[in-house]
Amino acid sequence: MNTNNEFDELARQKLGEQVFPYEEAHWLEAQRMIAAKGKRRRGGALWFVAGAGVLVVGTWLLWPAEGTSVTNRAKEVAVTSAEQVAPVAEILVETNVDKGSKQEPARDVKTGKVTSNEETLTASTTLDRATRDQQTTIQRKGQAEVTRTSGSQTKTSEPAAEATLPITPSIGSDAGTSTAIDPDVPAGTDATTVDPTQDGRSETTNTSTSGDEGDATMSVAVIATTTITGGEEPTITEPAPPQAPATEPTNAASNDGAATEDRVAEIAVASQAEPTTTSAVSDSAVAVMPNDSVTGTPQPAPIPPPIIGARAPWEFGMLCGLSQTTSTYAGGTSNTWDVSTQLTPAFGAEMMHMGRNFGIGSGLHYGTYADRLITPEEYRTIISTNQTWSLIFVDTTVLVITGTFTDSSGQIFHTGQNVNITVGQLRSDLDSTLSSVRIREARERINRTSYFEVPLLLDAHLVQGRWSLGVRGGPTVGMLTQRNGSIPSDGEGYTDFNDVAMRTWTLGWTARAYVRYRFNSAWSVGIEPAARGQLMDSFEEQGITRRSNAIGCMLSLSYRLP
Amino acid sequence: MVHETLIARCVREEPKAQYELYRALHPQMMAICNRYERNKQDAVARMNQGFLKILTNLDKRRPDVPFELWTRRVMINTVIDDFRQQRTRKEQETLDAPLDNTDHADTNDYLRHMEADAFAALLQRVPEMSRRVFNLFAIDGYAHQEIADMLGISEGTSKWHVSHARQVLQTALGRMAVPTVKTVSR
Repeated sequence: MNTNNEFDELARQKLGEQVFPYEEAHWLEAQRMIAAKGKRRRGGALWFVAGAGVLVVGTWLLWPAEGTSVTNRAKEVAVTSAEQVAPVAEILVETNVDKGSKQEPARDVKTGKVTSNEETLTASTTLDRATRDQQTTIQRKGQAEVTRTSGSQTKTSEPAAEATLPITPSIGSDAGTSTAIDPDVPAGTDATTVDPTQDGRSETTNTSTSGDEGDATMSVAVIATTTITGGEEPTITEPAPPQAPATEPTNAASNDGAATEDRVAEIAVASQAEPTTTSAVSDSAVAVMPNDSVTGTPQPAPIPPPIIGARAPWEFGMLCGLSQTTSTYAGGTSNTWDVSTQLTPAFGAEMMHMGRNFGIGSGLHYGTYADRLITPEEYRTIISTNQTWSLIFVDTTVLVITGTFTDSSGQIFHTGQNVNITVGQLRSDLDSTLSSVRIREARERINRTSYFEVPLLLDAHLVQGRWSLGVRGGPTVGMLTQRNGSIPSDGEGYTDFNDVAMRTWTLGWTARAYVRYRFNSAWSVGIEPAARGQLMDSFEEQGITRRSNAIGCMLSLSYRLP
Repeated sequence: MVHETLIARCVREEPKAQYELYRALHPQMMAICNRYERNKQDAVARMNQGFLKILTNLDKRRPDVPFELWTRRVMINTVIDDFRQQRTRKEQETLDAPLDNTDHADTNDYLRHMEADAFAALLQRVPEMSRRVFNLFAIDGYAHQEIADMLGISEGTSKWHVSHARQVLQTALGRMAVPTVKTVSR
């Protein structure tokens, strides 16, 4: 082993002999770091849950309305074989009669008189929404069947389905005769309007074909029931007088049938004039099913006016909210500092050019990044070495020459005497002194930087009814407006931030997701989880840099320019 | 010796287990950090930072690696990572000329009888980079190539730092050693 290796080995041994007593303060500090890490992790999880919640709520709100599915189901039913459908219609008509105890009195369309109509009771009105939806589908099965049975006389019943329930009795009363779906069935015949024996597919109903006011045919009953399932209470519309009142009893059926068709068509058109729900539009779609024998041109389904009309695509928005800043310090002794987040306000105004799904724009944001900087006290260990000189007294014996003589051969001899004396030996020592000096006191300080930022905003959004869900973001150019705070110096004490307002700029980014509710064509409000950050350091002094990010939530108010 | 049960409890983030582990590892962690850091405050901060890493990565530890070795490695990596982060601000140490030669045999003899704390204090007088390299090479047993990779220096620079640290230490030890009185007989 050479001397170097021996030296290393000795050094290893020496350092291994060092004893470090356990100090509770060390654990307390470690505990604080563990807690801070757990808090950060929980904070991240919280934001994740919040984001997921917003997505779920947004998806739920923007999910297509159920009317669409009703239409689809109705279309499916329309092509279903009659053998499968007929019993269902029968059951449903009877069910409606049974559940008619809570019906609303019907109003005579012509006179405006309110009459009772047991056959066309709105049993569905007492049912919950889900049941009504189901019933709508099934009853349309029956309706499709009825239409097929009645042959070409029956105009599509779907538009009529949107007519109001109270209208139906007046059809029969206006005609003055019974109203039969099947033209072969004579007027005034009680019991059924559809002969169940005709093709083995027709169903028997409890409705009457008598001319009494308030009576209704089966088809009316079905229509009325379908109307109820449409969702909202429709508007009662005065129908036009019948075009061809029946005079001959033998032709009454066919005439009445035609009259009924026309009336139904008129009512349908009238009722379509003011569509109230999405399902009404869906019902119109059913009206043009191939199975329906349409003698006239079906009325086009009206399109509800869009919420955002023919306004300018420009949108002005204002927003405000709170953000939580997370700052990262690097360099120097920054790894010994603790930085905790701070809530800061943020404001902004934006002007966007909004397209169907995308938009672009800019604005002016004012935001503050703040953090609480906690710095521990700092000590400096000073090792000073002093070389000292000292005398060490040593007892010794000194031979003192006391005389000299020469012998006969010329040799010189010295005579001496031993003397005990004490001599001082000069020695050099190197003293090392370790001293610990506090060079910086502990401090908590909020460091704050504020910016005016001009963003380039790109927007992507989806609109569903009054709700819109989107994301918006882009790069920003920021101008520093305020900077205050301090950082620990590299040496001793603290260094305050320089006042460099409006002379420093920075690049950053901003991103938001938003859910907005539109009150009308102009105004909307929204809630917007937001994140923003800096792409440059907000300052760099003494080799220490600071960069901040913030996440928060904003409330927005938007105005679509006319 | 840290028991596997304690480690498992720490993985489950039981505070009491974390405390027990901290107490068990404290001497080893503190010894490492104290060697690499210039003062006690830095050493404690680095130790806690390393302990947090240990806690965070407990579940990723390979079971075939002894726990003490693994924690030692984590602590050294923590110290070195921190050093690399701060490196930009550190003063550039010049490769100056070697110090005056001293009698190594005498210094070794003096070191053998020296107090451990005094030698640790002496080690603090070595320039930072040289001290770290010396610690890695002489105390922790890393090879020059490994040190060069860890610190981003060349292998030759690593060797120079070790030599420089030795010379600083030996010079200081040589000065501290009691000068021996030599009698000259004619």
